[in-house]
Amino acid sequence: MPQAFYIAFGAAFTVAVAIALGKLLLRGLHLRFYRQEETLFAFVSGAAILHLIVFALLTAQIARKGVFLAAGAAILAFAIRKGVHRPRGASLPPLPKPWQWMFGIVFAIYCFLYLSNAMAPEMSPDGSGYHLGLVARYLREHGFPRITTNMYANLSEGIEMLYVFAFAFGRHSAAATVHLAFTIALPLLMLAHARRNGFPVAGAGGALFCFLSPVVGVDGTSAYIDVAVTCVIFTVYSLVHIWLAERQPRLLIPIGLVCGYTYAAKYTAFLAVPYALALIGWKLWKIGRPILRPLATVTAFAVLMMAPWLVKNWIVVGNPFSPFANRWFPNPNVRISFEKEYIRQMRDYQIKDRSKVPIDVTVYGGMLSGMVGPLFVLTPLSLFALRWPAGRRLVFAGILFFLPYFSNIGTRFLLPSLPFFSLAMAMVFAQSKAVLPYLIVVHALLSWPHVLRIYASEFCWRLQRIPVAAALRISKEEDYLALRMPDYATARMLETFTPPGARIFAFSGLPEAYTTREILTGYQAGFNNVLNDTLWTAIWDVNLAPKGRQEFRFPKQSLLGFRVRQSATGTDQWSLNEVRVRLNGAEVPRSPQWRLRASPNPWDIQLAFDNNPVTRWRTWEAIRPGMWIEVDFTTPVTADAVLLEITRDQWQTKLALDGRLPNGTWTPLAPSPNEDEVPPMRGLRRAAIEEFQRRGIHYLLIHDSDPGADDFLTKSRVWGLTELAQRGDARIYQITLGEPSTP
Amino acid sequence: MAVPLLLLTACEREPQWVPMPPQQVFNPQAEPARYLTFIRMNDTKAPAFLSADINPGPPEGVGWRWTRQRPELKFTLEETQNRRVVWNFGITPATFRQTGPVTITFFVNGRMLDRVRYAEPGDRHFEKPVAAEWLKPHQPTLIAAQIDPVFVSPGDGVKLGIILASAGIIGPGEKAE
Repeated sequence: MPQAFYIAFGAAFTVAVAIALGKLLLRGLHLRFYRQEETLFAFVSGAAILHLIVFALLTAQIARKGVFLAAGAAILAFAIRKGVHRPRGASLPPLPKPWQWMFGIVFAIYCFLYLSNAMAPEMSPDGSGYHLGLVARYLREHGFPRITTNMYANLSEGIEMLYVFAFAFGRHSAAATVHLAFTIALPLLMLAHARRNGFPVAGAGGALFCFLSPVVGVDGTSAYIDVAVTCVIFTVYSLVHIWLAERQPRLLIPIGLVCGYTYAAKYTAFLAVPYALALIGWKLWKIGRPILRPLATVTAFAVLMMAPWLVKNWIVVGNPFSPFANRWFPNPNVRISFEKEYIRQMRDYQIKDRSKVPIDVTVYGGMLSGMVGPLFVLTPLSLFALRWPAGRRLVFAGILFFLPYFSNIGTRFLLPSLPFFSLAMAMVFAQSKAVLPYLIVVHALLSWPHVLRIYASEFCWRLQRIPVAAALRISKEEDYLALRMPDYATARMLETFTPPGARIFAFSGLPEAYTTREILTGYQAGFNNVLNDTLWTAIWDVNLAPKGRQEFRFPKQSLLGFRVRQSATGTDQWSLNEVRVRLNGAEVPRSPQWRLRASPNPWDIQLAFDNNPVTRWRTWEAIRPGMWIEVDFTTPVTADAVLLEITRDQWQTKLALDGRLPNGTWTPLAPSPNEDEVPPMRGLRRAAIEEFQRRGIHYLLIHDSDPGADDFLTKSRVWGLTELAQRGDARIYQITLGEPSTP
Repeated sequence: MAVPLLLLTACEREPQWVPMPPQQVFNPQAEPARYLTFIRMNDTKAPAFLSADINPGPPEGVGWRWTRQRPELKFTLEETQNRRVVWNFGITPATFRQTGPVTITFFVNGRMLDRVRYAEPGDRHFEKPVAAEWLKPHQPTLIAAQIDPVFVSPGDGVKLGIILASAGIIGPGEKAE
C-alpha cells in the first residue's frame, strides 16, 4: 500500500476516533448544539479524552499499533451503534450566499495548499526535533520511558498524544495531518461562533483572516502544536459563551475537560482555566445562583486532564511543573540557571530594538520565526469592536491570551490571541460592504507562498511550495528531506555508524524523529549540562580551565569535618573542581569513610571529590549567601589546610572555612582563602573522555559550527576519538582512547 | 487546589549525605602529546587548519587547493625545538604563462623565514628549519606565503597563487611529502 494511504489513514482514523469520543460524551450528556457546531466541539473534547486514553496506554507500556487499532475500532463501532454519526440539531443561521461562495472558494484553495504541505515529509525544526522525536521514542518503547535527559519530555504533551496515535499508522506526516485537522477546525469554530452570535459575515471574514495567516499555515501543517492549542482555547471560549447564554449545567463537564486540555496541550494556554472559571463565577454571582458547585465541576474535570502531566513530572523528574519552577522544586534534571537563561532568551530572542518586533511579526518574519501577515498591521483597529458586546468579549479574550506572548516573543506565540483579534477586526471592517471582501482577497494573495517569497525575509519560517508529489510520495521521502533539511543526513548517519541503543552527545539539537539513537543535547538537561561542562573545561578555555587554587590555611589540628561557606550575592556561579585536605604541604588521602553533602545541588557534590579535574560541582544558580559544601570525616583527621581547585569564572564568590572539632562543636578556621594559579596541564581531554565512558556515552556528534569544533577535529587523537563519518558539517566521533598514531 | 498542594511540598529539604566517590586516576602523561602539525589538502580535517587565502571548499584534482595571494595556515605545536617548515605546492603552466617567474616569501608568525624565486612552473617542495624562539608551545602558530605576482583572471578578476598540496611544521625524523 502506498505511504500516502497510511498517512491519510493514520490522520483520518485519529480524527474519527476523537470525534466519536466527543460525540459520545456530548450526546451522553444530552447537550444541545447546532448541527455544524456539534462535530467541531466533539472533535476537540474527544481529542481531550483520546489524549488521556493514549496517556494511559503509554503508562501501561502497551502502546502498540495493534492496541491503537483495536481501541479505535472499538470506539468507532460503539459510536456507530449509539447512532452518534447521524447529524442532530438545527442548522446555524445561514451565511449570505455570496459569502458562502467567497468563504468556500478561498477556504478550499488554502485547504489544498495546507493538505499538500501537511502530508509532505515532516521537516519543521521542532516537529522533527522533539515533538515527533519523543513520539517516535514512545512508540519504539511502547510506553513512557523514564526520560531525565531531555527537558522537552517534561512539557505537557496533550497534542502529541494524538500524534502518537496517528504516527503508529502513518508516521511523521500523519501526525502533521492531525495538526492540520485542528487548523481546519479552528476557522470553522470561529465561523460557527459568529453565526450563533449574529455576525456571520464578520465571522467568515475573521475566520479567513486567521486561517490564511502565514504562521498558521506553516505551523498548522507541521508537527508543531500551536494552532491546535489555539483551536482548543477558542473551543473553551465558544463553550463558555454558550453556557453563559444557555446555562446548560452539563455543559460544565466538557468546559472543564477542554479547559484542562489547554494545560495538557501547552503550559502557556493554562489561562483558559481561570478565564472560564472567572466568567462562569461572575455570571452566577450576578444572577444570584450558587457558585461553588459549578466551579467545582469545571475544576474537577480540568484537573482530570492536567493531573497526569503533573504527576508524571513529579515522579520522573521531581518537579511537577518541569522544566519551570525549579527553584520551588529543586532537582538535578533541570538547572535553575538553565531555566533562567532559557526564559530570558525566549523573552528577547537577542533582539536589541524592541520597536522592530511589530513589523517583523506582521511583515518580514525573519527575526521571530514567521509572521502573521501584513493584514495584522491593522490589529489596533479591532478596538473599534468594543462598541458591540460580542466585540468586547472578543477583544477582552484577545488581550488575555496575548499576555503569555511576553514570555516568548516568537511569532507563533501570538496564535492564541489571533482568532479573537481576527474576528474583532472583521467585525469592524464588515461595517463597510466592500472593505471586508477586499481585505480577504489581498490577505489571501499576500499569504500565498509564491507571493511571500517576494516581500518576506529570506529567514522567515513559512510555507515555501505546494509539494503535491512529495505529499503523495511520488517523489521519494528521503530525497525530499535530504535536499531541504541538512541535518536529516546527519540523523541517518547515526543509524549507519552507531549501534542500536547508542547514546550520543551533541552540543546542538538534531531531527531526533529521524534517528532511533538517543541524543543527549548539551543544554537540554542537568546530566547533559555536566557532560557539556566537562568538555569545555577540558578544552582549557581561559575562564573554564581548572587552574585556580584557593587554599585555606589554619593551625594544624584534629577535625571531624569541615564546611566551606559562600556568603556573597552576585551573578557568578560557585563551582569546585576538586577539594583536597592537606597536612604539611601534602594531601591527606581521601578515605572511603568520608561523607559529603552540599547546598544547593547536593546531587553533584561527588564531582568535587572524584580526583578528576575536569568534572566539577556547581551551584547551577547565581551565588547567594547560605551556599555550602560539607565533609564529614566520621573519625578525626589531622589537617592544616583545605585546597580548592577551581575555574576562573567565579570572581564574585566570598568563601570562609569552618571546622568541626572532635567534641562536635563548629569553629571558624579561616575567614578567606589564599589565591593562586597553576600553569596549563595536559591530560584534561583524556580525563573528560574517560568521564564520558564512565557515564556510558561512547559517541560525540560535533558540528563545524559548534564552539571548539576545531579542537575535536585537529586533536582527535589527543582526545581519544576516532572520526567515523561526516555528513555536511557534522562529524560523528567514537570514543576509542586507543594508542595515538603519528600524524 | 492541586497547585497549592503541590507548592506546599516544594520546600528545600536538608541535603542528604553521600559517600566518597571512586577515585579517578588522573594522569597527564596519558594524553599523547601529539597535535596535527602537518596537513594534506585532501585530508577531511584540512579546513580546520586554513587561516586565510586558501580555498576552503572540497579539494580539487588529486587533492590540492587553489591559494590566493597570501595563503596562511594555523597549527598548534607541542614542541618547538628542531622544527622545519614545509610547503608542497605547484605553479601551473597556465598561470605561469601570465605571471612569469614567481617569488614566494615564506613567513612564520609574521617573521620572514625565506624568499625563493621560482623561474619555472611545476611541482615544488620548500623546507627550512625555524628557530625555536619564533615558536610557542600550545599556542597558534601561523605559517604564510606571500606570492608575487599572482595570476589575475581576465574574466572575473580572481587572483590565483599556487596549487597547494600540503604544508606544516615537522620535527626530527618526520617526512612531509
